[in-house]
Amino acid sequence: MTTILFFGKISDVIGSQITYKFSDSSLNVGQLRSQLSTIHECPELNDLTIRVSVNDELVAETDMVKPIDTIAFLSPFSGG
Amino acid sequence: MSNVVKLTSNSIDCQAEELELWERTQDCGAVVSFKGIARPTTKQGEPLDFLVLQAHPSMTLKSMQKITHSANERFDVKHCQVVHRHGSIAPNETIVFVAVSSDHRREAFQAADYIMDRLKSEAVFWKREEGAFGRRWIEPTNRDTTDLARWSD
Repeated sequence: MTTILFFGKISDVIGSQITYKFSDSSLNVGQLRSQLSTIHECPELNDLTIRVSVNDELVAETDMVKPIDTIAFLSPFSGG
Repeated sequence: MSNVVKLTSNSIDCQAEELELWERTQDCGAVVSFKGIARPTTKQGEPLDFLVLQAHPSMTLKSMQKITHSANERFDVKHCQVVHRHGSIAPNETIVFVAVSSDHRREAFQAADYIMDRLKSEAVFWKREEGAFGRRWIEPTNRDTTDLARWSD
């Protein structure tokens, strides 16, 4: 199981973290977003202003993710 | 050149932080420091119980370090001390402390201003207000964006 983190406004909707079992060996960020949105009945997750980081780097929707990655969904930053 | 960048859930002791900078600043002619304080009311004028800053366990500090390093590269400054709170912050408590030392005052003023403008809009934080009105996530303002644009090349 992979733990996926959520930050900012989206964490109020889906929670601060969930666990996810990868069923496919290859999955891109967009596909992961879509699957999580369906599984957790969370259409807000499809808002592309919510960026995704993989291993602390912001990534594109077409980038691939693996079960060992550290994945986070980041609402738009508020700044300090 | 030395940078000290900290992310903390504890109160910021600005005097201690300035002293820490001062101890490695004996070769400089100017020190500029700034502290940002949590306001007691929201933009709508409602009393604020807490400002909550959510931080990412690793990306937030990295973003602060990147911004500070960028100030070093852009301006002729020698030492920077940047400390930011996260967690629940009560009104009138310090949110952020920035101090910069350099040979001459202009570079120190500019670098501190630059660091604050970038922290206010680019640092990896999520900020919400809490009070009798409930809780409300906040995003950078138009003014934050305008302030940041002053530094675009």
